[in-house]
Amino acid sequence: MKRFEIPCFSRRNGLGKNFSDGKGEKDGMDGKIRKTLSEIGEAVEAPESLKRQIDCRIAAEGREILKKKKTGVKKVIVTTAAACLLVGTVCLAVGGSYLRSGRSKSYDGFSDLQKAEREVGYGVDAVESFSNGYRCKKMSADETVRENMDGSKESVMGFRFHYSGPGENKKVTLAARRLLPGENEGNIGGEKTPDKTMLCSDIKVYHYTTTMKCVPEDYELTEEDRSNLKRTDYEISVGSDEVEVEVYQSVLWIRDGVVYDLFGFELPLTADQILGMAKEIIESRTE
Amino acid sequence: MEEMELVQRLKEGDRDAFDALYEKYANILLRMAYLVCGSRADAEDIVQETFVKCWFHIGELKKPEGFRSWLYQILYRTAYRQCKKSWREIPDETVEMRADTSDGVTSLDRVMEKETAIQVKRAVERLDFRHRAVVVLYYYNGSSIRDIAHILNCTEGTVKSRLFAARKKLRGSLNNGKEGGAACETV
Repeated sequence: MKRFEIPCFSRRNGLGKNFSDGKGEKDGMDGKIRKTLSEIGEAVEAPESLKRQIDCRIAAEGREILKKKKTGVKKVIVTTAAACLLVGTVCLAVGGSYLRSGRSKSYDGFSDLQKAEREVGYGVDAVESFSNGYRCKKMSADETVRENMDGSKESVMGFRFHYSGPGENKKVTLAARRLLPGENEGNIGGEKTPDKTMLCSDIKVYHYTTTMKCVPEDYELTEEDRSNLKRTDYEISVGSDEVEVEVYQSVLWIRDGVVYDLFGFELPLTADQILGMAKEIIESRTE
Repeated sequence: MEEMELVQRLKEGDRDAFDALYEKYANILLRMAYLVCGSRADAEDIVQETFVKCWFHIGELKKPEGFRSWLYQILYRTAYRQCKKSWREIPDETVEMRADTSDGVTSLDRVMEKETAIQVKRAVERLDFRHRAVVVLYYYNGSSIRDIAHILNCTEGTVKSRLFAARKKLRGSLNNGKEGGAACETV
């Protein structure tokens, strides 16, 4: 295996001046420690097998993630759409901390909201139907799990309301859940820039538009893809059978420690129209 | 290719960039992990975990120029958990024995012929994890106090305090030439 220079002693002369108790330099102890650690370190080399093991782990864990995603790319994106805004990565080829779905319980419909709220332990703002005709067809309580960089996990139970539009096979989902530790209004949108904002009952509401390119597992990124990925409003999701590009809209706001995300793919709605739906949800509490 | 460019490409999912960064950092990380945990087998596990996390979590790294510190952070967090799990379970003799039967047997044996080196190694091994980590980063990596504080997620004052305490303990061990002394206390 190719050996590389390691940066030990690169600042040797500066170290004693940087922080020293003085005695170490006088009795030569600092030098002894440096020399010994360097010699012990130099005797250790990464075996070829280590890289193979890492490659296997990445392939295996990548397959696990893809397997989850392959249950339906759109479905996965829908279930993690909040993650897209919260973390900035939903189904990217490489991850960061990512949110995934955990347990889920379906209810008969909106009429079960109080029962669901009792079981989940808190209530959220929601409406059964909107003035534009979208109506709640399904409701569920869903667990959102955040897998952190250090391997730890945090989870929270939340709600999902699935609305269907009149005469159209278009669906809008409202996801609502309590904030996870560290999430707040300042970072909830990740690196994305909202394309529209609205103030409603003193709550700031953000509208985002994102282009989602779904690609097969063996897809190789083009130069254009690489360039697009630098944009904050562009995502690439791995796991579809063919290349497919879709636009999704998302409206996000936080109220009383609960984050709301109203979103949908290829919606026949303008930003103002979907913001209007968010307004109806927010104002439903005071009606 | 510059490291910054490699990191940027890694963020875009470029496997070649990952391989190049592995080549650059594998030995550095393995050596750091070995010096901190004292076991070759554990060190390889720690490095493996570090690179797997690097691949899956590179999206969390905001600034490519902070890649090295970020990688070291992952390594030390992983090492800390690994050491908590296994360090106290491995007697000193076993650590020595494992090292002797590792791939680096020839070089290591040569090093161990030196009495001072043996004393220093044992003295460092007797330090608790936090002090060992500071000693390795400071003396082996040549990291500044500020960088160490960043990597270990503590204040510069804490780093100085740990380094001071570690030196004191090391000096005590080396001056006394105690080879079988008790493990140092945590400050």
